[in-house]
Amino acid sequence: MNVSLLNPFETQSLPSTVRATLDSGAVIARFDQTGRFVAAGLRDGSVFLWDLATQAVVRNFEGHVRAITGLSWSRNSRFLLSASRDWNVVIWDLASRSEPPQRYHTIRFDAPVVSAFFHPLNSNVVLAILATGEAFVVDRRPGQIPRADLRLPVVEDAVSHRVNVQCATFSSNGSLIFLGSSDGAIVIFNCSTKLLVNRIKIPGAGAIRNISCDPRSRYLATNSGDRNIRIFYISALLSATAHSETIEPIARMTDTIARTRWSTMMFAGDGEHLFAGSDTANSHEVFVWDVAAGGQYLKTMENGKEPLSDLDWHPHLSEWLSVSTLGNIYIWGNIPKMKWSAFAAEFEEVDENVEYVEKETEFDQEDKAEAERRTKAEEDADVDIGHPQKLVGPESGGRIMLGKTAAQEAALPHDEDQAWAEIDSELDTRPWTFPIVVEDPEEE
Amino acid sequence: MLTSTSPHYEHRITLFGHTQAVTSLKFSTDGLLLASTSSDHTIIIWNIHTGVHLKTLQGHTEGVNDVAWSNDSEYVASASDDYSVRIWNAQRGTQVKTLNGHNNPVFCVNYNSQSNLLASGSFDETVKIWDVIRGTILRSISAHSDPVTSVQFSYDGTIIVTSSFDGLARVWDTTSGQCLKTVVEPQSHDPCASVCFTPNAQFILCSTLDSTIRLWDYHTSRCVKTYKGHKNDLYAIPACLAVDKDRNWIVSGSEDHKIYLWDVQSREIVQVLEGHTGELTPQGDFETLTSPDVVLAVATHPSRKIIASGAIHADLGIRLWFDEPDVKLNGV
Repeated sequence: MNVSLLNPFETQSLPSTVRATLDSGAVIARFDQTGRFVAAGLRDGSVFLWDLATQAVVRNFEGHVRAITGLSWSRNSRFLLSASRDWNVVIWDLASRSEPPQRYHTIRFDAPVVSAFFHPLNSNVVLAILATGEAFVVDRRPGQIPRADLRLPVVEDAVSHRVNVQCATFSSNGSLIFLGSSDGAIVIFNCSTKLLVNRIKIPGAGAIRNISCDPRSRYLATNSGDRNIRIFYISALLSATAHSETIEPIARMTDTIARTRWSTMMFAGDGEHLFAGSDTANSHEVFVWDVAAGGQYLKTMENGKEPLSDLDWHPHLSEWLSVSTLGNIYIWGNIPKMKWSAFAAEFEEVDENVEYVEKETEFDQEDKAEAERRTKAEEDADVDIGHPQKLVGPESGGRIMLGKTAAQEAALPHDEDQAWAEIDSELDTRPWTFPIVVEDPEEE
Repeated sequence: MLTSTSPHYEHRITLFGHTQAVTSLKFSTDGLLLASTSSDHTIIIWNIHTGVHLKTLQGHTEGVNDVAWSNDSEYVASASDDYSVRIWNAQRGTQVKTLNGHNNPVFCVNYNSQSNLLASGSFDETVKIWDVIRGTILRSISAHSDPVTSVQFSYDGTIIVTSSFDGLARVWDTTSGQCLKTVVEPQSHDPCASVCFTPNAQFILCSTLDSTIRLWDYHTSRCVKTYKGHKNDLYAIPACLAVDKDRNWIVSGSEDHKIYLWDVQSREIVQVLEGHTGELTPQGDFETLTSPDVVLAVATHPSRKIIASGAIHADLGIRLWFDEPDVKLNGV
């Protein structure tokens, strides 16, 4: 909601420059739901929390002994999840004042975790993908299935070899889970019932490397082994039957010249753009496409030669971050141009010289009584100065609610899946405060 | 046009502790404590329910001009004539950080709502943005051509408003430090004594030394409301907002020992609080002053109907004014 306030005198466009670099040693990084923090996961298992306003590390979470493979933020950014190759998923509570930070919860698996996600509405539900190709939904709420194994359906033509889950995502409203398999199929599960909804094979695509759902749960994008990114309507994926002809993507993006492999891709926070990082040994490139225009290529942004390992879009600004394999996090953004006319009260900038035409009444003396009456009439109009706003923790929603007004939100069907997801979600909707701990020299 | 919801503040508690002028008052974010600053180099933390003097924060070597609370009500930041900004643990009464960087008296200070940044304004005409945890300067803005009298973040922290004796109020982008807008009354260039955002950050409330408070729509540079009736042509008296579902007042001190309350919409004076008329003698008795004192410091409670006021010449007792039933008395 602060987009219009942030710079009310300028419009936003796609960033093309790096406005900040965080020397973090990270292999993976994620913005929180407000865009205030960046969580950075390292190869040695440590997780650092960066405050973007000060560009400083404000927390250091030590809980893993092997590389971090996944980071995820809860709905109101209070909880941070880190997944690691040390077989553990750890949840951290940012509202905790303990120093050093203690684990809020640990979920143990019996294989390295390759990625893990919070349910978009409830931090008690965690989706985890293991190196063995299995997918689990862990539910920490009482009365729910504590650990559900999402088994890929057995398909006749695939009996000869084992099929693994390569990647996964929740739909943005949390009702569905999309899995991408090593045999190039999208497998859809219902999140609350854990039942299989559909399986759609993308012919000729090869293993799905990663998968992304847009913020309004309309599109699903896949990044496949054949170096193509495909966008599908989720509604089409749901209605496709096993017997129907193979489903056609609404857009297919590829680098036809260099045949670049995509290390990662995801939808932008506005849902209008899709962006991907190239997986090449000596370039750091980000490609952007316009989803609404049928996947039209927009531009490529380059920044040096450090290979790119991860990307994330800012939840509400036209900004993103990219992580290089050397451990630098680059924050891409627009550096606003200095508007010198802002320093003078009644100045206006013009692009070209214009001949000034004096208005007929320009130097007329207004009658004093008349002027006073006019001012009084003007000032009698009520103004809306608002009420004190509590901005402790982000407003509920964050990325998933983006692009919807409160009225639209209320008009949405409050279905069973959502009701299920909102059981025991108080901690994800209650306001909270991130404690700023200033060291007290007398304490030491 | 007095409506049934017009205010009826009455004086209930007087807090004695400072030995020189009371320069600024601020209620804590949780509304339980009051911080007062004084020319006697100290900051005092008070419990507003009992009136108990909880802590005296000593360390500044010159008078203290302004104070600000962090969002968890644990820390206060103070701005002083000794050129420094200091961060204190108000609960323990200890100093935790000294922020050096200004080369003239620091006049105003404020936290952002996340309390990870501090903004300070000084007689060196700059505004500095500080990293609270590290105590370093993130940005120094040459904001004005005269001393900066107030600085405040919008509720979401994305923009900053400043005012100065050069007569201007300016709006800045926090991230880039760039000037977004300048607001000035075209007829007069009287010094700006204070400026603050309205709760929705769509307007700024600016008091100038022509005894006028104006509400500006800074997007269009249009003055939408003017409030007059008090006397203010010498001191940087802040104008405060007391706004929620049944409060809609603008509160300001005055150089005639009174505190004025205006209705935000009708611009009419709805109550005048008369106080700060006496002098505390060493024997603890009151003596009525011959010349009116100046009510420099005024603060409005974040959620309850309480106003705090402090004066600078002789009547140094901080007054707490209540517009709510006295629970304590009824209980007894």
